Amino acid sequence: MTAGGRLSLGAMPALTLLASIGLVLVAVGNDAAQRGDSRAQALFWVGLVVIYAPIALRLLSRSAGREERIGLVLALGGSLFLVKVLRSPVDFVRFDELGWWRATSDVARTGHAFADNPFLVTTSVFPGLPTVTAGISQLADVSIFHAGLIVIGAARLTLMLALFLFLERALRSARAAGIGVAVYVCNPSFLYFDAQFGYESLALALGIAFLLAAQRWSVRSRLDWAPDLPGTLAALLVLACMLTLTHHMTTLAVLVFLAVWAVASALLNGRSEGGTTGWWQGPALPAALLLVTAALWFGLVAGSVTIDELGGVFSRSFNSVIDLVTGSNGSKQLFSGAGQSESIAARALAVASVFPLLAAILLGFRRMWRRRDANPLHLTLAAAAALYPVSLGFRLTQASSETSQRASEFVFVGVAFLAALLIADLGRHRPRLATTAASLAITAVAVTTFLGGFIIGELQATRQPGPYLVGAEDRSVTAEGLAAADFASRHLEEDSRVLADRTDATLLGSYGGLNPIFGRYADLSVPRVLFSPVFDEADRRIVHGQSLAYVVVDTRLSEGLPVIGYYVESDEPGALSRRQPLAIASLQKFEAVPGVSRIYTNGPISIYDTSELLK
Amino acid sequence: MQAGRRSSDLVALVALALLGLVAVLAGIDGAVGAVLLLPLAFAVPGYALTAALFPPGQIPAAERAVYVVALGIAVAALSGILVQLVFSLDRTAWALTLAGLTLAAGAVASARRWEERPAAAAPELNPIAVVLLVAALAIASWAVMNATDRARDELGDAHFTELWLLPKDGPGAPGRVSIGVSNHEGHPASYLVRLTLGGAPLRDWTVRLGEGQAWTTDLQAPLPTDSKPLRVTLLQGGEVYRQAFLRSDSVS
Repeated sequence: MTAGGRLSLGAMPALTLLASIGLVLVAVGNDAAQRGDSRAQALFWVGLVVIYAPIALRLLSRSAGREERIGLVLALGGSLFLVKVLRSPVDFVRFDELGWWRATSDVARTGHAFADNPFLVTTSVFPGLPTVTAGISQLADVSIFHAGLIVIGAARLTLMLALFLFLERALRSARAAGIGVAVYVCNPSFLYFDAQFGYESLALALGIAFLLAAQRWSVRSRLDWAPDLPGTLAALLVLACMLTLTHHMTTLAVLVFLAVWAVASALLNGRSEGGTTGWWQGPALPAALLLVTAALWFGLVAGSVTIDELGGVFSRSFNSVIDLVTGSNGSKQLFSGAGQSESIAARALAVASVFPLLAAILLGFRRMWRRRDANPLHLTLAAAAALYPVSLGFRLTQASSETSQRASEFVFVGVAFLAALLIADLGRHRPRLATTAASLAITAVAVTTFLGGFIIGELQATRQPGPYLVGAEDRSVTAEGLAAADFASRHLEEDSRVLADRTDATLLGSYGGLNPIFGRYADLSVPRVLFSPVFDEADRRIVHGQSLAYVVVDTRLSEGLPVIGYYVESDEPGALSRRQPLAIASLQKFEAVPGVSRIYTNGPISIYDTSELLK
Repeated sequence: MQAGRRSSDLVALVALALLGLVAVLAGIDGAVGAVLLLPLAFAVPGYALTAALFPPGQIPAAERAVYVVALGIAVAALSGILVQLVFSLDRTAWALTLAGLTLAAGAVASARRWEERPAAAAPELNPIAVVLLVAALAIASWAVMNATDRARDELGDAHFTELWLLPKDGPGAPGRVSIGVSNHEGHPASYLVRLTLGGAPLRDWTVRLGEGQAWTTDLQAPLPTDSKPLRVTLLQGGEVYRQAFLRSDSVS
């Protein structure tokens, strides 16, 4: 800030204006994609570059002030959040988003949290996001969609600011912090996954805010009472409770991070920032606070759901990697889903995006080793970065890809630290021209990393809108599906049990208010009711045993293989290995089943009433 | 003067909280309600709590901004979760809870300010920077609104008609049925709706619907069987367009 209290934003307003033009390009590109225009991808990618590159270049500059850098990271985070909004600007359409929409709707409708959720069980034990969103929706009389955008948008800006401040305090440099944030947004989950209406999007902001408060708590140079001590402690307590009630994975990640930091602090007590001596003054106290809240919540409420979800993900990952190593199973085909594959250019960009990060980690380690000035927090951040190459290994199998994807937003905090540490040191004593050339080169590498990360993290089919595709998440949501869900909400008994493909089940379970059924009954896969060529005794057993009141059939499923590899759920018969689409005869078999009535149709989608079979 | 200046933000907080409470009790909703209540729903409790925890000058402004949002979200969610254990969370419960929290935190903040340093003056912005930022916001808003319109148009470009036939008392039960047609063809459309039992005509309706309009009728219908289903057929231009049917396994 300049003398006289004037805020010096430097080039930030102009670069924000440029970023808004990038958003226009993305919007025009999305519109072109919907119309099948060949320029759609080019407009979209150029839009992303226009948003990211100028801000990254300015963050590299030595001349920008601190306020300007803060403004730039907020402009970057806000603009990239709007890219996600431009992808689906009318309604939530992703599987997770609709699960959280259902949970929020239940809070608003019943006045109570913790309701069972038919297709996203975790929402019933992590009420943080749905409760606050329902509160905004009810109080301000805005839709759940708009309330959700407010919460996630605010969380995104908070994440950017908190991460900047956390890195700034760790690296003692506003420039390095800005560079770190520019690297962090290159993580594959950042652009879409962590901007969706989901608990992780909110929890990341809470987690980094908690770390910022923990850092304030830990970085003190005296034993005596400080004025901000009670406030910091209270903030830590509130944030620990909220983080625990919001997301299991972020809670565990922050807890492990603090534990490692605390151990490093204990081992290197003399080298810690400020030279702390009492355990309670370092990160151990925030870690203990979070441990208590997490132990209480997971022990009393969320333990089994967390173990089921995370345990399932981790065990599948572990087994698939073991199978890969022992040769029992091959690796997955990179950059290709069941229905689509990436272009050569996209594959090259994705692969090229990994090497600068690996190099930054290696060179960052070397710098830390040579200087030997790392404090416990630096070592902890470096340890987080060291997990990045491990997470890449998980990309090699289908089952472990999800683990790699979910890990990226956490390990990238460490990667951002090491990259910032390294880049901030470059060109310190070089001539201006050489520095400018180096900044341009680094920006070009950063753009590659940013775009490549997005390619790694998001299916080709779902990056932009477009015509209907089978089993392709957002791309499978159409007016017909929404109309069927609207019909269900107005005419069918709430919470009726229904079998449908993944997209229609998601819409019927959220906007439709029904209860989609997945999984197995006895030894039978429930989705086989849709897949079997004739309605046989096993189908009848499933319908009866699962009390299915309705079966919803979308005949478009016979038009192609599902892009994500399955029609209903990932362990259905034939998942990820089909060579042929579902036969239309399988989908039309309900026409001839005695006692089954077709009560609704809009062309592709029909709702069959199977309640007569339950007698 | 000094005391008044350093507490002006807290006075504004109390005013916003009370205004929100009055708006809820007066039943004000829609756009006016949103404008009056969004601050209470989102920013005001977080600001008040942060002010109570950290008096002016204790932490930098940027860090304060982080806590305003993070603690605001946290305190709203946590208080809502606690309140719903006893009461149902409706608009009034939310308003009372969040206004109460704001007033309590504001009182603590006010008390703590008497013993702390006064706040720094709000920073000023360069007018050119303001113009550029407003322009950026306007362009970004235009991009989102345009994308919203295009996405709505795209949904409207799907041309189809919904047809339904619902047993009012459950399938197989004698009684009334409901027939409905909803037009999403993107233009007005004429239909012939034909009800049959086992192929024998029962009744015809000629229906003309504008885009987005629906037609429904309830009537007493004979009991269907598997061999004689109750079928409603939607015809357009003499061609069968949609069909729905009710069957009963238990009677046949």
